[in-house]
Amino acid sequence: MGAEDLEPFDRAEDVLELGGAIDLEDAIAKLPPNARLVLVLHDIEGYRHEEIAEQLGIAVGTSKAQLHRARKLLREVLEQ
Amino acid sequence: MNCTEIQNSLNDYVDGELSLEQQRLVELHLKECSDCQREFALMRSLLSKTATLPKSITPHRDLWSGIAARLGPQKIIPAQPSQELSKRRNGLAPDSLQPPLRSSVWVRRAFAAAAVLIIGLGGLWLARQWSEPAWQVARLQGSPQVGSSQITGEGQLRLGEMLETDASSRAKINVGVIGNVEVEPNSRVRLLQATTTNHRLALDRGTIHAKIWAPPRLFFVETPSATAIDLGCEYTLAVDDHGASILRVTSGWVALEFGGREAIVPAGAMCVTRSGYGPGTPFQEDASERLRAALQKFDFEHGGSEALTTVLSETRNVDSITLWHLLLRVRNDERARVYDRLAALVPPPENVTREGVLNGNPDMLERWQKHLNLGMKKWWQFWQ
Repeated sequence: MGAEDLEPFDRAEDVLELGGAIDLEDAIAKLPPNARLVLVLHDIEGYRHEEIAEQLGIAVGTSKAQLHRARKLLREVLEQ
Repeated sequence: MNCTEIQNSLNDYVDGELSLEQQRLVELHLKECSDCQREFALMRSLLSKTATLPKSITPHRDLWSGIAARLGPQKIIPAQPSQELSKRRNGLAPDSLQPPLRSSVWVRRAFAAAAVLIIGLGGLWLARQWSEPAWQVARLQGSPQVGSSQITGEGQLRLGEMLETDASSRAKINVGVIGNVEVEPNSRVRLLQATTTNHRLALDRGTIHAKIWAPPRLFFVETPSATAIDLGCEYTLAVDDHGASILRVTSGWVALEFGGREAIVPAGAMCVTRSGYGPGTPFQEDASERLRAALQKFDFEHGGSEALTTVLSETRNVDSITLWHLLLRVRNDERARVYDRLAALVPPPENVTREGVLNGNPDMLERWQKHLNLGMKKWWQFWQ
């Protein structure tokens, strides 16, 4: 299964109306600090979990858990 | 795998963290299940939007080679695409999500800076400090001096030392690994602090151009009339023989602080400071001469209502940053005039009321400032 097979899913992207970049930044700013740190470093700055874990002295699993939590909270805030 | 297991795996799936077999199972399920398809679409939608937000930490591409050279080749991670990157390139995440390859040293320092900003909020994070006892200095022109020694090629500026340029000399200082400062002729700077979280110069007189590529509030320049605090930016700061200064921001934001008085200056704007007063009201570079003169009277010469009247009549839509600052600076009985002018140019967003602003409600003032859409990166602004 290649990327082209996933295209039908992409057409559903408009399902999540996130508003403009300002709203998204605002929502990120309101995340709990630890979750926000990992989300910014991973999803925006582009660091990998291994790098985040090594440099912050935490487990890779903890970094992933914080990222998943941040994304979940972000969706909840933006879907309100 | 059932829907719960699939949805629990979607984060790892979009991040390319699953094994090939796990990927295959997720994809087979997604083909058949509309609920999980929707979850997947929402996840990708969110990631594609966060990936478009501007980065804050990453050094500018054309600066990176210089950093790498200073750090030495033995410290650089080989440029091998990781498994995650390979998977992302297979189309499982947008191209814009692919992280750039970086130096381990840069990563360490960037992380130290970011982590330090949340110390005190919990015991989870370990902040690491790297001492930078001296910064490198390079001669750009003439004969700059560090202490009594002339810099002919490259040299060092140590804690407490002074770098001076005469009328025909210029120099460049590397601010640790987070940026650089060019020192123009007839200037004097001193190195006050050089740790990972506190890069601090004093500019006693003259002109500097600062270019910083790190999270906010890691680089400070103290002048006789205010402290300039980097919020992720590029700027020029000039100090005259009386200790007054003028700041011109060309990228990002700079905060100026003195004695509890603060100005936040975005790209394209300027701000004047005076000894004993601190920062005046920021204004756009292309603001009219009448507006600048009226602001000077208002800020430093007790211009009062008359100066304010001129300011209000001269402001355009693009001068909203000036009016927003004036909301915080005018007397209570003058605030309504400023509110009405700013509201006419940039109507306040939802839930920001006239009454709230006139009462100085900080949340409403912050929301309105955000609504001016001047480009502040919120997640860094509110980090502390």
